[in-house]
Amino acid sequence: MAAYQKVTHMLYPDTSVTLALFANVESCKNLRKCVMEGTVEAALLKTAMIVDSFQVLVAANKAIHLYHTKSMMTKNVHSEILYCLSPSKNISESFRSFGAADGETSVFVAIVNDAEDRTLKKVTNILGREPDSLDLTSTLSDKKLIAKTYRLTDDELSTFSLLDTLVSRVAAKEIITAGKGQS
Amino acid sequence: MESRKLLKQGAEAKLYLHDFYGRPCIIKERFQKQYRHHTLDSMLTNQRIKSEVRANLRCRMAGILTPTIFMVNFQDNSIYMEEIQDPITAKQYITDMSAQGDSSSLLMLAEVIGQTLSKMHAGNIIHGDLTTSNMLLQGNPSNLRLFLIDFGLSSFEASAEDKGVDLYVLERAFLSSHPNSQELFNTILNSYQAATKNIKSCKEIIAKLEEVRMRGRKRTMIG
Amino acid sequence: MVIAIGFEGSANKLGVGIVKDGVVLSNPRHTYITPPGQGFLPKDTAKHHRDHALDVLQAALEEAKIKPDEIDVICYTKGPGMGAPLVSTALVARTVAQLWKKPIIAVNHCIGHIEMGRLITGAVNPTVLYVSGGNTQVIAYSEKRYRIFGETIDIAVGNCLDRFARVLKLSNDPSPGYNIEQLAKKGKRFLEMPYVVKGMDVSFSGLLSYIEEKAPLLLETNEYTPEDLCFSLQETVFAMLIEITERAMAHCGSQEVLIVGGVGCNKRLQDMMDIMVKERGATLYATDERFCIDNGAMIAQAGWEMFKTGLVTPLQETTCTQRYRTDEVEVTWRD
Repeated sequence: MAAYQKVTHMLYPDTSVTLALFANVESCKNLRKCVMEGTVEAALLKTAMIVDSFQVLVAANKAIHLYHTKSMMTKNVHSEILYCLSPSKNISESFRSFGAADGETSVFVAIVNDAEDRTLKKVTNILGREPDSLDLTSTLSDKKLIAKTYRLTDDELSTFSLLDTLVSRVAAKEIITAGKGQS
Repeated sequence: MESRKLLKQGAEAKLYLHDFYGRPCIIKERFQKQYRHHTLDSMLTNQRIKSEVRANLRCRMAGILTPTIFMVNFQDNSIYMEEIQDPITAKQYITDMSAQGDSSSLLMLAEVIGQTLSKMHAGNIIHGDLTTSNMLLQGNPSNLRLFLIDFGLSSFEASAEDKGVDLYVLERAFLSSHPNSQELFNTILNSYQAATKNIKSCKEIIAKLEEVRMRGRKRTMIG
Repeated sequence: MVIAIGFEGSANKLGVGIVKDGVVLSNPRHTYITPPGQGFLPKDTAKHHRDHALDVLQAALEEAKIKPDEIDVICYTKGPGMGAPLVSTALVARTVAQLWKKPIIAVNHCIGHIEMGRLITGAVNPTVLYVSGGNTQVIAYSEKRYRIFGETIDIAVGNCLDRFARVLKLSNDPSPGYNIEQLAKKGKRFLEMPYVVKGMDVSFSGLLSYIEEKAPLLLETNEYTPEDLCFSLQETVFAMLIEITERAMAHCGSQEVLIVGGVGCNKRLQDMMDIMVKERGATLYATDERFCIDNGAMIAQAGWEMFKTGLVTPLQETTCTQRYRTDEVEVTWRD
């Protein structure tokens, strides 16, 4: 298991996030079931919506900060990662757009505070295979769908890298979606 | 956060250099102004962080270069953003090029500034604090990349008045930073006008600029 | 040794001051005070100045123990200001210049404030915040001009305060701004109001219409007291002024601030400025109501500086102008 990334939060040294990509799995059904039941605590992300692990890192960084400052919009830090990734203020819509579905054959997993990689090991067992290189992330993404979901403009896409447009959108979500037209 | 390094102490914010998970990052932390009533101070700080982030993103949507935002922290009133690599402020650039007598580089810069501001106003973004220090440049003279920064005083207004005042603010800052530069500023205005597709609204904006200029000169000042 | 006499009457104060090489020998003044709720009209103000010109002039001479033939130069306010009062005061200055056979100098009112402020406080090269009933400017000296770095893009701060005083029907004695300041000391509840800073410029008109519109109801329902509103207004407009002053200081790399003009007497404004200035490791210079408020000595002092560099104004050019920008004057007396 060398492919995944485990990163310490810049503001909270006691908190880490583990990012792992499973590029080719039979289905996400069992894994999703375990997450629903609470036996696995992780965020399961739709790979089509992810262009780079950094995009997830920015969302996780934010979710962890919101968790520590008691300003989360959802019930736990893992669902908050999903919500932070999404441009929508609607929680169930965010889960629908950014959560991995049962039938998908790839999944991007984010785990907060995975002591001794126990959760990642569980995930690996359930999926029956090891994580793939995070470098494959962009090959699984659906750039058209991403542009549509985030409502990216042509000007924006021709000026910035796709990743950077998404990073700014994720970081600034509650500011740009609230109080339109106000300064 | 011991690893962060103070880059600059401004009037309202401290800038720190830091690393954001492998990306070079600037942390802009607004601090309390002791002279201000605390309610007013926190209101302004909060408002300016939001304005800054919002206008930064709106500019990007309009295809104007701005630093990528990594994080907004309302606990300590800071914005984490991309550190623009090897930038030179437009202020420094104009000073350098003027000293070298390189007028063609200056003209090319004026073109880029005019075009950028036209794009910005077309998106109804009012910067609120346009100066040549708030424009960062990258690249070579014939292919300058101009980043707009410091949107703390920005707002969203469609009116010619607000856009005219925005240009007026730049003109004032421009002329006080760069002596004998009225001609260069006029080139910016020409390029702004040439780039603005809505000719009618552009005329109104320039008329407002004239009006605001005259307001200053013609104001009767009693007492 | 040069003795200068200055005549000031650009607004509702008539002042005559005598300055001898940087020493103020006398500086009497008479203020036209209107009933609460009313501003001063040009015609009535001009009449006030005419009525009191001789008394104030005599007081100035007596207090200074100076005889007319000892005076070297007559200085008067050319502008900016209200037309009729300016003209009535200039007429007095021209008359005595001819009567006493003395040279005359036309002085910019704003420059009078700056030079007086520099003389009284000893500030060398300050960033100047000039705040009065008709002016709101942040000024710094560079290359032979007092250049305006920031200013109001609509009404002056003093005008904003005066008009708010009228809403509250405050007395104009000694000045509306003074009475707002006294009430503000007892204010507690802060009301948020429009705060408009654009670059180094400010705007007060939106704020004024906001408070003019809101005040009656807020007072009627006892949500806010007049004291609270005065307090909130001061806190807001002064914060705007401090902010643009700080921006100008940063822009010019300045380490001195001088506050001049009638609003500059306000202790709260001075205190706020002092906090900002201390944070920057800079120095604040402020004067009191003797010199902040329009007076004759400031015109004498600026005229004295000009006269020493050889300037005089030919009699046929001793006109007045309502509009006279600070940066129009070439500052011949500074390096």
